[in-house]
Amino acid sequence: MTFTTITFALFFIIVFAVYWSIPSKTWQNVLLLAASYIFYGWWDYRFCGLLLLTSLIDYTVARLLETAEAPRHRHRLLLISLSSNLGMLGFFKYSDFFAANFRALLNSLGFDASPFTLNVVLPIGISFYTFQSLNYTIDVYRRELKPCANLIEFLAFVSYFPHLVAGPINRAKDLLTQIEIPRRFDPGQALDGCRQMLWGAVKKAVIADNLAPIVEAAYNEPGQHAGPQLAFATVCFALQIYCDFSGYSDIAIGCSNVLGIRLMRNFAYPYFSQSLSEFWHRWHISLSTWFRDYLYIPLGGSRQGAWRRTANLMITFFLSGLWHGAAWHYVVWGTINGAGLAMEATAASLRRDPARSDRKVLVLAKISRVLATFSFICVGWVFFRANSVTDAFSILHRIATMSYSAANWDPLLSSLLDHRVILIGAAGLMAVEWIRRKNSHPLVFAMGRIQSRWVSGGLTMLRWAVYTFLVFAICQYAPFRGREFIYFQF
Amino acid sequence: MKNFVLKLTAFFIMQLLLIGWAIAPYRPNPDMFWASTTLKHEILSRAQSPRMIFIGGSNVAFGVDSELIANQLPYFPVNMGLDAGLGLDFALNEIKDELRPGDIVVLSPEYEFFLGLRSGQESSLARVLEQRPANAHYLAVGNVTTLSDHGFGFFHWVFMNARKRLDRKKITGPYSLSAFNEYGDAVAHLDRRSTPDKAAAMKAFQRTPLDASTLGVLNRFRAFCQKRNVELYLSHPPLPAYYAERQSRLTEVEQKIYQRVSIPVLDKQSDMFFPIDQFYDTEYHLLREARDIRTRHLIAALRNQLATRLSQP
Repeated sequence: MTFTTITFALFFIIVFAVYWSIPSKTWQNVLLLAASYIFYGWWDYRFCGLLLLTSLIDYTVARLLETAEAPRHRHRLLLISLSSNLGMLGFFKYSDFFAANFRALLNSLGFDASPFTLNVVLPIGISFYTFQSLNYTIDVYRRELKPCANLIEFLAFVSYFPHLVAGPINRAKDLLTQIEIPRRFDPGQALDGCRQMLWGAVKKAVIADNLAPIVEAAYNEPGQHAGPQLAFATVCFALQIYCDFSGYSDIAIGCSNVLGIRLMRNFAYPYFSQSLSEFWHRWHISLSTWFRDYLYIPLGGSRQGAWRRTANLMITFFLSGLWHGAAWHYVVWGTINGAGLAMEATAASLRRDPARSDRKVLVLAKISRVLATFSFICVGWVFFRANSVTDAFSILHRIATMSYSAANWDPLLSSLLDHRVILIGAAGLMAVEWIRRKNSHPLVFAMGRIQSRWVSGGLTMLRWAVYTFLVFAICQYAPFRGREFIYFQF
Repeated sequence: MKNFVLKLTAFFIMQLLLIGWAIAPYRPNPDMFWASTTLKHEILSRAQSPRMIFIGGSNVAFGVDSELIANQLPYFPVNMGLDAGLGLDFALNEIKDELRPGDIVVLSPEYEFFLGLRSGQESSLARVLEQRPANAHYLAVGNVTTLSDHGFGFFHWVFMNARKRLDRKKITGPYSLSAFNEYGDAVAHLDRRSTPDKAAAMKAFQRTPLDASTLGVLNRFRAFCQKRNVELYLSHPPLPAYYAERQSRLTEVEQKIYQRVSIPVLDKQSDMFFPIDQFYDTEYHLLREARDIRTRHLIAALRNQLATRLSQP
């Protein structure tokens, strides 16, 4: 079930009505569990079995960890959780990838390896719920979290539908603890949730889905397009993936707020970052912090010298790339970002005056930093979006070499004119986000205590006018061509 | 809580009223291709028994010569084929209530029916519903979920076009109501130039896995027909000859559906390959010459089947 469908709208209205009419926390959790499995099973009911299996294994392992004292025993239990979770992820997501690469390796060594693929169907959201479930057992193993005694609560935690298929990947410490305690309806939180859902829907349905055809046209046939058009398509993809994924996160967080459960923030206006490290603190925050806490820091982080830090960053981002998809272009994307971060960290450590970065810098310098960071990110996006590494290099080559004659700019100009409405929309959206960047999302309205009824009433009308404008923007411009969220494929 | 619900309800009512105002002028165009659903149902209920009812998608609408069948076989042909986008469930449900003892049903399913289109597409389903609301009766559960999962797409189209008064525009040509004859065949394209879009072809073939549940659907429909004393046959849809190069998907459908289903099959897929220049605009849509060959093939196969049946004690 996708957020931007009539099915989900009806589903959510029913869940909301029943959920808040149940006084007992236990039955609320039973409802959440049932709703989550319906939500997930809507794609394919067979996927629910896998979700249940993952949950049951981690529930059992965590319960056993509670009583296990011997470190060896605890190690073994953790290993069971890690191997079952990563094993399932590996089988469903990577088996064909590894088989194809193994075959290619054997062929290159002169062995005649017959084609062998399992053609395994990738269960939607497996990367997300596997990581979510894993962080629970690791935290229990580290004794940072008490294991959940109630199976229903644990199953509801793993399968919680607002974030099940594309995150944010919430920590058990945050989410499970909220599921374990009784919830009270908070009208402020619920209203804020509705606003965030509306903003997310606009980003996804109006901007991302309209940018998608521009990107597809260029990236599916890069050889047919000149440098400027490919560069333009790359910028469009940068906006598309942001609006698509952060739109999903906004709807997920908004839904959850309506149900009285807070999810962690996943995006903090990443394209306004002035450095790569800042970008990764603002982009897909739940995954970045997951990798930081459960991989980068355990590997040694940045505490053991520059070389070790570089190696740790490379390993982390290599695996982050692989997490995104079973293809080499994702791995290259991850590696580029890892290398960029390593270089940035090295440059920062070599700087003579470490305090310089804290000084006030000119607006122009800030803007150029933002643009430089965005450009670097866009180079990475070329690899992320291209259909193969070869395609990505071909695109970069064409951008670098086929952008200097006026004839190569003509198609771009006509493309800009053709898509002017959506481009103005995207620019407007980024401008609104820039203006409202101090808030968790642009539709946050904290009026404080306004004494005058006239002023208060006027502001309410203004807000409603804004919401109505956004609803009509969706009706008018959202193509609704059944386009799934990009991150569903991961 | 009460305040929140009231506020939200007020907001939704306001939005609904405004959207209602925006789309109020919308009327479906009565000349549309999908308007033929009404015509086809009229023909079906009017036709004298025994009838020979052809069902499937547009391969049936564009590719069967009912007049020739009427001249050669002692049955009144009714062409109920319209659009593969309606899906297999809808195509079968549409005639279930109308079947009479002694009818013959020939089902020629597009390959897409087995490759992800069992429950149809929202745009086609919505259009036959707006043209003939009584079609809601034929919706299967899968069709309803298709509409609810993708219905915003049709709503968006309505919203965009509501004020253009499309209902006042006259539509003619192969994709209009006027293209259909008194048997329900689409005939306006027959002598047009062949301009098939080869690049768009076989998209479903390449990507979508075979939906094994369709085999059960066909077998259940066969049982239903038997109960009603109705003969049911399967026939392959016509395809451009170059599809033979991608035999693996065709073979998969052949092995997992055609060879397992308990319905007599009138032909082989190889009988239904035609040169690309015998297709009008897409695969499945035959021009006159190939339509004639296909129909004669069907007539011969049906004669054989009927002769076999009549010779049985």
